[in-house]
Amino acid sequence: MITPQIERVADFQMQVVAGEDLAVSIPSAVLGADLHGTAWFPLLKEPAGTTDSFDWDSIHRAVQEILGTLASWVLSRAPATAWKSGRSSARAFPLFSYRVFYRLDGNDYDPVIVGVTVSLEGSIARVSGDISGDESGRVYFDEGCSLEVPSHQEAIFDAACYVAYLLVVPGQIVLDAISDRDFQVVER
Amino acid sequence: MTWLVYRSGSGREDNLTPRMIKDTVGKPGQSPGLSTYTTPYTTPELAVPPGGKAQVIDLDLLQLPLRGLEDQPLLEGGREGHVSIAPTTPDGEVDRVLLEEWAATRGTDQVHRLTEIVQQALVATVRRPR
Repeated sequence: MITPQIERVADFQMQVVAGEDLAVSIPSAVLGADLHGTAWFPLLKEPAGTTDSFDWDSIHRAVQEILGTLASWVLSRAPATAWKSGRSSARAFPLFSYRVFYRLDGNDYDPVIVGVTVSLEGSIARVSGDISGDESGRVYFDEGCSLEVPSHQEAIFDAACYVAYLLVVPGQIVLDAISDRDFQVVER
Repeated sequence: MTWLVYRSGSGREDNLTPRMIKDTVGKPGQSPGLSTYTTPYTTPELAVPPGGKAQVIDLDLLQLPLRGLEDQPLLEGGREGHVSIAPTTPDGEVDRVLLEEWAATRGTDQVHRLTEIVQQALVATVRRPR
């Protein structure tokens, strides 16, 4: 519970009553000679981490630094590979930090995405990652890449880095996916 | 009651933005726009492979001018369960000028405001069982 101390702000006095309510007393001098009163408010529960209470920039930077080693590896095998890094967010997830690897044949359909997603569910954060097709949704790799951790900055940071490291290991999967000559464009 | 539709692939901006020509030209029974489906796995066109990902969009959370426009499956080109997300004019017609403006941002670093509206209506990511 949020437990404010008794304090005075200008002419307003606040006091916790019975550990459950916050009483705000307003003296007559504020409202006018004929008015005075006390308003009662239930105490709010300590809020779970909200989207705004996290430093998503630092998590994104850390994930990108790790995924950068994957990009270097892929480029060392296929120097013509086009790629870019990015991040996204939506109502369902405050952070999706990713690298896009485009197909070697120049087809712009369904590039391969290597990314880490963080979603918040109350006091729990779900950190997941995969190597997948941007449009098809085909998942090439996601083994062990889903964690649930307490919804705290450090726990999310560590989990995101851990998942990013897992995604860096199977670089050959990315290379195979962007080289796939049997790749079929699926209309939707 | 919410009206959920599914779009295969990632939650990246490009995948939430229509493609020029392919998604900006309608056909009989189907409005142009961002393709989604009312069922996640059952239609072959959606083709989410086993274990694959789809994004869940709540059409009730879409802000105007975007709307979900259901196909007319009895007409050639219309598909059962297919819903196009497209900007509309006040009289309910697809705003083709705005749709093309939206599609033109796909593949660029610019995120169109209509893509942001779709992102705000993206409520979950689901996986097809393997």
